[in-house]
Amino acid sequence: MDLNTLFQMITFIVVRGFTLTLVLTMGSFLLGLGLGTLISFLQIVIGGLIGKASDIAVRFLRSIPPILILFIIFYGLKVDNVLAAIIGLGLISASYQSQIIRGIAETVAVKQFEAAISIGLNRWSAFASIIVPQTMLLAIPALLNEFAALLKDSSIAYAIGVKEMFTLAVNLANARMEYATPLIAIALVYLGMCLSVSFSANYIANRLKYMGYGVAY
Amino acid sequence: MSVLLQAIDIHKLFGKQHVLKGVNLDIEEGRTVVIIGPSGSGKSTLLRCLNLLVKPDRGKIIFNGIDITNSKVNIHTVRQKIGFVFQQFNLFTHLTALENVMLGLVKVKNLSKQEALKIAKESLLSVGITEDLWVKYPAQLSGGQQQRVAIARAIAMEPRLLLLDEPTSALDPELTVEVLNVLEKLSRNRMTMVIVTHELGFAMRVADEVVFMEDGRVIEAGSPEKVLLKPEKDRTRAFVSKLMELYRMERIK
Repeated sequence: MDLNTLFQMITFIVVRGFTLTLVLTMGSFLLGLGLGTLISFLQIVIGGLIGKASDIAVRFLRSIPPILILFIIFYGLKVDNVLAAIIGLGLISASYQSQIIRGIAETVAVKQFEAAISIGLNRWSAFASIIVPQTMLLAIPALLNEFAALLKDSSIAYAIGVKEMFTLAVNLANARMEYATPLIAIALVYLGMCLSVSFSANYIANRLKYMGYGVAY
Repeated sequence: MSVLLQAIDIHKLFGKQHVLKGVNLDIEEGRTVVIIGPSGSGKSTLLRCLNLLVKPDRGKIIFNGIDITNSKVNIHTVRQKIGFVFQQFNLFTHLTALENVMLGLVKVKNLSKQEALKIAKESLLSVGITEDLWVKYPAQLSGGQQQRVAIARAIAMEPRLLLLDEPTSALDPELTVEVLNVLEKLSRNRMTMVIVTHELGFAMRVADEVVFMEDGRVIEAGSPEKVLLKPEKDRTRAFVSKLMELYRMERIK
């Protein structure tokens, strides 16, 4: 394996595949964020039967292999493969993002909610002007880590034929009948991307700590 | 003087634990009432019942002639008139000192930004928080400063009554003094206050009335001289002498 070939492969994979990987990641992340926020809202604010139902839905989504969810959507609902991957990954991500948001919102609420209603805010404005803004800030690092997880997990779209980075690497390997170099190349690409995202998540988490979020309260 | 708040036969259970067992308390307008008692005696729970942060299981709270335990009463409107200061300050961490004080004025009292700003500044200055600290976030302030901002946040709403739950328990002795000085000033200006505290010296100097609680009941109440120096009940005497001893040791240190 020579470095020159490796470098060429990395370039090829990134230039040809990154856009689609980004579309999958961004699409499913945003879908997961929207749905996840909705689910956490149902669980914290509405509660009751609706909260229970959403809790079961979350457990359900987490208990099925992601690749199976993709197959169900792609073969079962017969949607376009890119869309199927976004929906499938988005649903799974929603189940994780909802619990990230819920956990943080509940921690924030423990002390801040009492303080908010003690100055006469009603439940709703306490939620909107105190709990939500703090939760949004505090959730950034954990959500970025979820983004990094999606970035690499988007590779399972390979199974339904989406031509994202991983698929390109495998195709390259099949064509060359040589697996080591392309697989090392794709590993390095994912490694670089995921590490930079998770390092920025760490950096932001530290900044927030310095600002006094999440530690004192 | 007229009675501002009246607690009648307040009971509270947490699970099977009977925390308040029929507490009666009258708070007269313009007076400073200090509640003392061993931990677990229900003093903090009682204080939280007074503005319904904790809902009593039985009994009534009459505030300003209205039974606020009645479910038809809008409790949010009532809470505007009753300030609360927490042991752990509980400032809004994402807002600066100034914004912490302004929030209630803008969101609850619907004042304009300028009006709110003016009141917030006055309120912060009155507790000794100077201009250089206004733009700081809670995490950048000392405990004593945070607690004074919390007091400013409460008094900016112009409450009829101020409830303080061990306001100095989380503070170092030096910082305790700066907070107690603020409370003494408020007391002199005839702010009606109910303070749960272990600061006997402060109680002696500032309180109009001292209430001793134990095991979910009011054991003894009266002037500080009477309750702290010449208590009638043995239990009060035992508790006060223990506290006095601690207080003396603090002073020697």
